[in-house]
Order: sequence, then C-alpha cells, then structure tokens
Amino acid sequence: MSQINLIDLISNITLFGVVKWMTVAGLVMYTAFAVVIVRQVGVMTEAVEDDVNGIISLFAWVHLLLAAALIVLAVAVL
Amino acid sequence: MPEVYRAGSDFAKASSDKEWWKELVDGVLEKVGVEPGRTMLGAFCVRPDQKFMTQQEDEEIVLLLRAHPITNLGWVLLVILMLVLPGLILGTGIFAAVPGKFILVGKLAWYLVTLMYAMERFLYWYYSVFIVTNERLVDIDFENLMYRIITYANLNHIEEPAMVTGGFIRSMFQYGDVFVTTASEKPTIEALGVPYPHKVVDIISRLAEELEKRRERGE
Repeated sequence: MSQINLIDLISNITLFGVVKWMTVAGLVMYTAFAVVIVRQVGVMTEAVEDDVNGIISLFAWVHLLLAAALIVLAVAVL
Repeated sequence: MPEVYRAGSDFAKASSDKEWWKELVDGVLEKVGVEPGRTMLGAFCVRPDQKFMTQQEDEEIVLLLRAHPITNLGWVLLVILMLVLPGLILGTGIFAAVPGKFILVGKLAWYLVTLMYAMERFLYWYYSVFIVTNERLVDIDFENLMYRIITYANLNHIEEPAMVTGGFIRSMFQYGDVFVTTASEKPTIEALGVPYPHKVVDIISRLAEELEKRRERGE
C-alpha cells in the first residue's frame, strides 16, 4: 500500500513543481539576506549621523517586507 | 558662592578653547579658499553639521569626504542594464513556453535583486567616509556586509600628507587619492577617489602645522 503511495507521489512530481519549490527555497534564503541588510544598515547609520539615515533604514525594512511578500506570492501563485 | 564662581570660570575656559579652535579652523579654510557647505552631492562637506561615532565633545568636523559621485557611474549603468534586461530577454521569445506566473515571480525576484544591489553599492559609497576633525583623521571603511574598519590618526602624529591624481577622468572631475603617513602600526591612512585632493592635503597640512606651532609655543 505504502509502495503504491510512493509511486503515486513520484509520478505526481512535475518539472514546474520542482521549479516552484526551488524558487521558494531561493526566496527564503534571499529574505535571510534581507535581514542581514537591515542589520548592516543599522551598523552603518550608527557610524555617521546624517539626515538620510531614517530614509535608508526605512528602505531596508521595505526591502525586507517585499522579499517576505514575494515568498507568499510564490507559494500562492506558482 | 566660590563653587559658582569656579563653575563660571570653567565654562569661560571651555568657551575660549572652542573659540580658539574655531578661529584656527576658520583661518585654515580661508587660506585654502574653501567655504563651509556641502558640495559634490555630499562628497565634499566642509564643517558639516554632523556627528560620527566616537566623536569627542570638544571635537569638530572640518571635512567630511566620500568618493567622488562619478565613481558610482559603473554600478549605476549596471543597474540600468539590469532593469531593462528582463524586457529585452522576454522580447526575444525564448521564455514563450514558460507559464506567465513563473515569468511574473521571476521578474519580481530579479527587480528585488537589482534593488538590493543598488542599495548595497549606495550604502558602501555613502557610509565609507574620511573625516578630518580639529584633532585627528578618521577613516571609516565598509569592506563587506557587517565588516567595518575605523582608523584614527592624531593630527600631531602624522607625517606630510600626499595625493595621487592623474588620467583623463580624474583630471576632468578633479578627484584623486590622498595618503597620510602616520607613525602608528597602520602606517598609512588613505582617502580614495575624493574630490579636490589638493585642497584636502592643504587643509590637513595646515591644521597639523598650526597644531605643531602651538605645541612648540607650549600653548
């Protein structure tokens, strides 16, 4: 019985299914990188006080949110 | 009553110290022929109203330098190319067999990577600064993610600064490299691709010279 299930599972794998989960995995890694960028911006902005520091921090957070949103989109749409 | 008098006296002394620095810096800037302000898209800031980490209370920024904005031209062109590339590739029709939803997610991911690349390059440019204060030189460099190098050199401990410039682009846009030799473990502090390197060298030399004169006079 379990052997039949395994065969069904394997026969249901499609090329685009593999591509979908590889894309999602890539986007998860990218989001982790976006978190690092938020930390990096924090380190940089504390080095020099400047008027644009707030805007740059905001930009880094927006980038992180976009990366997370793209994961959701990829899971939902693909 | 005597306490109040002493506090007032300390304040007056601190104020006169600050005035002394202000006059010295003003004199040096006047001799070199630069005025306070922010030029070259923030790459050449004279007496900017900014602070940096580890700045001391009696320390004032005389110069805040970044690489000349033209040094960003390469990555800006690359970003423009990255922005138009999906349109060009899709126009050829080689992805005609790929479902539209994959194309959509792929394009969005590509634009996100492009945004990240542009942001990274901008951050490296904007936050890698060379600062000349009334007391020392501070070189803040970002080599890669989370890796920061900060080098200090007291103006009393520097040798004669030098500059290197040349070539068509550098001559046309007036930027070059400034090297300041010190007696410390890291022998040279460098500011690469900064605008008006001759003025930077002049300001550092004059500030160091004035300090040396005061030290010789025992002030």
